[in-house]
This record gives sequence, C-alpha cells and structure tokens, in this order.
Amino acid sequence: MILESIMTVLSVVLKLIFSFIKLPAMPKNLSSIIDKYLDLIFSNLDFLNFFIDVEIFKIIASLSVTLFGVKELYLLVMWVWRKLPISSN
Amino acid sequence: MKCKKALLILLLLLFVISFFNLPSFARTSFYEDDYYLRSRAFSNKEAYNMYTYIKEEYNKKGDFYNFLNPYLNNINSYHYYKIEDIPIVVTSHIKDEGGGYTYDIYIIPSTSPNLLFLNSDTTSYIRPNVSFSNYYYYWHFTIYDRDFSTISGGEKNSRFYTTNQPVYLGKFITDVSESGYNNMKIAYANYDFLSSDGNKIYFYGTFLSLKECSLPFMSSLKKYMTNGFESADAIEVVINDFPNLKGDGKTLNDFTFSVKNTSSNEEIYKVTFNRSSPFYSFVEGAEDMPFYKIPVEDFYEELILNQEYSFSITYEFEGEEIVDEQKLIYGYDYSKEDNSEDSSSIGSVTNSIINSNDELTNTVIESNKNLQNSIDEQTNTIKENTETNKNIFEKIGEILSYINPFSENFFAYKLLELLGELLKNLFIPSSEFMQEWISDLSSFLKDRLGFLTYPVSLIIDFLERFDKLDSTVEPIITTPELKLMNTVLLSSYTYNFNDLLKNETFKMLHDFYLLFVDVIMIIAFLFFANKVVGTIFGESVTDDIINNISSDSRYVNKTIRRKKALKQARSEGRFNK
Repeated sequence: MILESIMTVLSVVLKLIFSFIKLPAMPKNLSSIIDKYLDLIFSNLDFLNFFIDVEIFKIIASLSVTLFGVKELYLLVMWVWRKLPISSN
Repeated sequence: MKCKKALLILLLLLFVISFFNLPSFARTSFYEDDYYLRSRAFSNKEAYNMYTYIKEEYNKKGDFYNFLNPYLNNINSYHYYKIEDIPIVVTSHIKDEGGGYTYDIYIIPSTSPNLLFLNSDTTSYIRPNVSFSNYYYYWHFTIYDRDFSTISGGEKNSRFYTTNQPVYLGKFITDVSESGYNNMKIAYANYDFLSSDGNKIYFYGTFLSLKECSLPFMSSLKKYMTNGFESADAIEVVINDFPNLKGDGKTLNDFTFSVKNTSSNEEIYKVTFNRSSPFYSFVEGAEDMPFYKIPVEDFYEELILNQEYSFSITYEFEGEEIVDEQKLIYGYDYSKEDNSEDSSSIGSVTNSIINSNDELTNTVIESNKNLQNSIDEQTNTIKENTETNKNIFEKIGEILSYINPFSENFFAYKLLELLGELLKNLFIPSSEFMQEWISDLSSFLKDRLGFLTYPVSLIIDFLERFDKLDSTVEPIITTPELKLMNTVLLSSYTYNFNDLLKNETFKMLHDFYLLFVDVIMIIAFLFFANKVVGTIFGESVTDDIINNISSDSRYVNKTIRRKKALKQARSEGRFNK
C-alpha cells in the first residue's frame, strides 16, 4: 500500500517533469550498426566456455545483480522509513 | 534497531521474490474467484485458461468428479460427462437470439479425440407454428485451435443443415442415453483436420449456436381467407433463417406463387419473384429477416365465396423442387378452426389431425419436462437439507477449534497470519500493479526520452544475450572474411579451442584452471556480498569473524608468551626461588 502510493506519486511526478520533453528516437541506421556489432561479438562469444564456466558465471552474475538491487532498495526503504512519523529516527 | 532492520530486510526479500513469481500470482488471483466458475459464460481466452485449470486440477486431485461436484448443484451451469474415459465439462447454456443454445465445452485430452461437441437438450427445438411445412435445422459451430485462431477448414465444415428432428450428424452421432448419461447425444467429427505441414490438429471446440428454422411459408393467409381480401392486402412469404445458409451457396432464388381453383383446377394467378423483385422486403433494422409481400390486387376479385382454393409457393432447394401448398375455403371462419370439428374439406381434416398430433406430442413432452423438473427440484431440496445439517456441525467444530491451542485454527495463529498479511499488503505492491507500473512508465519514458533510453535497452539486450550463452556449445571462434574490392585479404577462419584438450596433460591443467576460476569468482562474490551486508548492518559479517580470529590469536600469543616466560624462569632457576 505504502510503496504503491509512493510509486504512483513518483510516476505522476516523472510524467509531469518529462511531459515537456520530446526527444527524437535513436536513428535506425545507428541502432542497426550497433546490433550488427553485438551480433558479431555474441556469435563468437561461445569460446568463453573454454576460459570460464559460463553457468557458474551466470549464477554469480544474477546473484550479484540481485544483491545490488537489494542494497539499493534497502537504502530507498530506509530513506522512506526515516520520513515516516512512526520511525524513531 | 537491529530487529527493525531484520524486518525490513525480510520485507525486501519478499518484495524481490514476488517479482520472480509474477505468472503464478496472476493466475491464482484469477482462478480463486468462484464467480467465474459458477455463472459466467467464458470468453474464448478464459475458456482456454479454464481448460488449463481443469487439467491442472485433474492432475492434482486425481478425481475429476470430486473437483466438479460443488458446481453440479446448479444443473444449468455445469455438466460433467465421461465418454469412453474422456472426461468433458459442459458449461452454461445461453439462449441466443435465434432460439439456439451456447455451450462451452472442455475436454480433458487424455486420449485426445479429434473434436467433440455435445447436444445436451434434445427437447429444446421449437417447431414452426405451421403444420404442413418441412423442417430444416440449421447448425453452426466454430472450431478453434489451441491458439484460438479459427480453423478455416473447420469453418467450412461447421455450417450445415439436417432434415431430421432432433438434429443428428448422421453416422457421426453417438447415443449415450443407454449408458446413463441422461438422454445425451454426443456428436463428434469423424475426420481429421490437418495443419499445413500435414500434422493432425487437436481441438477442443466451442459449440456456438444451434438453430432451427422452417422452410419459407405463407403467413396470415387464413386470416385473409376468413375476413376477405382488400385491394391493399398482400400475402407474406416468410423466409426465416435461410439467408444464413448463403455462406454455403444455399441461397434460395426464384419463387413461384400460384393460386388455383381446386374444383376446376383453373390457375387464377401465378407470379415468379426473387430478391431483386419489388416484392422483397425485410424487417426494418434487421436485414437478416427478409420476407416477400405478394399484392393480391391482381386476383382477389376473382375469388368466389365458399370456394376452395389452393395457394402454393414453389422453389428449388438442393436440386429438389419443394412445394408448400395450403388449400383454404374463401370466406370460411378459420379463427374457430381449433375448436370446431368441421370435416367438410379433406384439407381441413388433414390439418386438424396433424395439429392434434402436434399438440399431443407437445403435451407429452411438456409433461415429461415438468415431471423431470419436479424430480430435480425434490432431489435438490433433499441435497440442500443434508448439506445444511452437515454445515451446522462443521461450524460448531470450527468455532471450538478457534479456542484450542493445539488446533491449526487457534485464534493466535490466525492473528499472526493476519498481521503477516497486513505487513505484506502494506509494503509489497501487487504483481499486477508492478507489471502495469513498469510497462506504463517505460513506454512513457521511451516515448519522451527517445534516443536517451537506447543505452538502457542496449544494456538489457546485452544482458539477455549473455543469459542466452550456452555452456554446452563448443568453444569455437570464427573470424570473418576480410575483402577489399573483390580481393580476399584474409579468408574466414574457424578454430575450436576444444582441440587443445585432446592432450591429456593439458586437459588436466585446464580442469584445474576452471576450478581455480570458479573459486576466484565465488570468493569475489562473497566479498561483494560481505560489502552489501556491511552496508545494511553497519559492519560486515567477515569483519566480525576477522575480529574474533584476531582476538583469539591475541589470546593464543599471550598464552604462548606466558609459557615461554615460565620456561625461561624455570631454566634460570628463578621459579624455584
């Protein structure tokens, strides 16, 4: 309930701020070049299997991202908590 | 303070976990609502979900009938059948505008019939209120594949008509009434539908509509023959549902209307008409209800009072000439026909006999229906009473369990559950809300910020690609061909790193290397996790451990130093003093 309200307010504020901005989209030519470049890299990235255990790496990477998210969320929630009148701080 | 932090971390974890369970959350919230199960007609998409749900329940409980039993009290909502070990469920029956019924049918594909649909109420067909007309029954059903795209082949075969009553599919009908299925008839398609690649497609079908319709007939003729014609009058030829058959090329075209004197066999009037003639008309606002209006001004003056005339319409249908004829006496009071025993004309006698038969049949059917209804009502009442008695004892037991600390229902546990739910509802946004919020905001930002959002989508794309990396694929590197003005400078080259592992020594070293890399990654992750924990708790767990170890080591060193000093004192002889 509390987070939902905060998120709704945040959404409204963001929409209000960015409603005045209308930037053009990324040129298709440029994005296709980047895509091609990424394709070239990732089509050859299988050789990484030889140097690292990709499965272990994927697990650790996903856990690291989650932990990072937890930390940031914790900081956000603590910030909100300190603003609440029920908080002793 | 630490307790507060732990609580917050728990909530955060629940919040993060809820993201990983989005699909199941959404599904649960839909199906837990009994309202959908009891009284609604399912839309196609919902029907598909229902099908999945029933299948899941069937697998879970193993007893499909018990699962459905609570819904069988309302007999018009659900029917359950088992045909040749194939369980099927038939949901609400809704009368449509054409007097037909809608059935939603779910088949548990234990043995996957090609297609199965069902006619559950053979007494629902309404015969047209004319005694001499031929009957045609119009059928229409739509078949969907599992993706809910209509099968065109199915569509082609799903429109047809039959002349028998009740509607049959010829050899494709199976009468299961003898097997105790309440006079049900199961129709099934006895042919396979094949996809473009030649594979058999399995369906479950939604039986959309079942209609009866009469052949065209002349309306209000008896009224005119009783009261006499006037110049502005017109005889109406009602077409009913026949335009619906147009899709199958069964449009009725030329009609011939004729009036004959039955005594002299003299033809007084004859006219041929079709849809393009001025006689064609339809009910305003409903073009699918056409009729023809044949003006009588050209022949009504030739009609003689108390003379019998034959009125007929003739048309071709399915390569066969169909004649609908009415023999009526001009000036005879047909409004009293039902009560009178006038046997002056053969036509009247025939009509009377047919009408009586119809009435008798209808009465018997009606009585049977009423009897069946009253039996059903009594059975339901007994069931309800038994259920009520059972519920009272259950309620008492339930109340007692609230004050029993050894019971699962003990109020303190419930209170804790409620508190948990309260905290969850306060801090954890619902999955639907999160989904909507994220998609709404991201589409808005994408629209507004244009190219600035590209790096974000690029990172997501990068991560997705990384996630798709497969560890089972051979580690092969391929260099592209380098070409300049049709001259190949460097040809394409492919190298498989696994070739190196053919050497046993190198393979062993490689295995050690991979193990070493794994250990490094895990240690790095642990350090990172330690740092995150340190951020949250103020000090890291490893700091505690290191501190403890160092304090232990200080104690050990101190003990060693004391032992050394004691030894030295002994050697110097100071201890003895």
